[in-house]
Amino acid sequence: MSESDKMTTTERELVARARAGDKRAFDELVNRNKDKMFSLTYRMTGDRETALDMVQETFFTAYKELGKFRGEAAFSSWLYRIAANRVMNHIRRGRLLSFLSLSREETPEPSYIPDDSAASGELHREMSQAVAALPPMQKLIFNMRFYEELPFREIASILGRGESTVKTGYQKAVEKLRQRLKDFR
Amino acid sequence: MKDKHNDNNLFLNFGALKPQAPDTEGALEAELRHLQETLRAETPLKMTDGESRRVLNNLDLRLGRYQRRAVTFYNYSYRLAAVTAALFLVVMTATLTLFDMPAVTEQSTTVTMATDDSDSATAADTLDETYVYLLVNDYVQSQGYGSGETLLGELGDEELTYLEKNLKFGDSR
Repeated sequence: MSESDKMTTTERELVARARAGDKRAFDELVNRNKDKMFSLTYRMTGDRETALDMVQETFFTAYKELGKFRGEAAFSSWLYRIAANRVMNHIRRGRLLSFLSLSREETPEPSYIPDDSAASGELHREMSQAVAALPPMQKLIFNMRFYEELPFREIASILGRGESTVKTGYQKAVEKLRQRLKDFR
Repeated sequence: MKDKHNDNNLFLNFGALKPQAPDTEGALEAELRHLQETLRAETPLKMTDGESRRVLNNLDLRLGRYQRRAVTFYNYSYRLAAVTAALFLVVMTATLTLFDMPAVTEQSTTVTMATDDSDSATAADTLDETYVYLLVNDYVQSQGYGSGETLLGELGDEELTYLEKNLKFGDSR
């Protein structure tokens, strides 16, 4: 277990206090992790409001299920797992609704794409569009690795998959991005 | 998280993309590294202060409701347990009572059969008659009469004559 996987003493104490019903301790855990959760959910859904709802849902679920957290991994990893499940369910639900609407128009996968008014460059938009075109699981792995900088082992633990599977998923995603960005010079 | 080991891991797969010429490999990796740094610097996806407050307020409201519901359920669970226990006792008592009653009814039926159809009396019927006789005898003794003969033996001749004339029972029938 790498250092990043382990819970710090302070985090452990906060979790223990939150479990005992200390609301302030839980608020502190929320404050420490809310931006990480928002970053992931926003990148995956591409909609601020949906991402904010998911952040709220993630922490609400965490509060209810706090008794089930064993403390073997970092608290943020556990939160990432809850958020990742929410995101994947959201994408599946979107696909199902899209299928049921019998629309012939191809609905694009939800994903974060910076708007033109943002101070982001063309490269950024191109990159974001390329990421948006990835299959959901590859996109999730890529975002966790590239933007959130999580180690492969931690991503594997969060997603409940093997480390090699995660690495393969990441490699495939990178390959697709490279193909797409090849002409962008 | 940003240690050298992880950083190397991050580019492990970029390096595995096999660029056309080995001398460009380093350049590609450097480019991707620069791309990553640029993108990260440009996109700090954080909630605004307003959004953050909104999320925290909504979360507080939901947690408050959840806690109240949990406490209410906890309080009601005691009452529910008491009511369930009482119902269980009532049901058990009723079941045991009903379980005993058919036995008595069955006995009564057997006695009736024995008296109605004496020709086809079986061993069980005989037993039942004996049981009835014992019951009657017990009852009579409990009333202090001893037996029918004792009761009649205490009557005087005049009383017996009166009974023979006015009551239709026994040999005078």
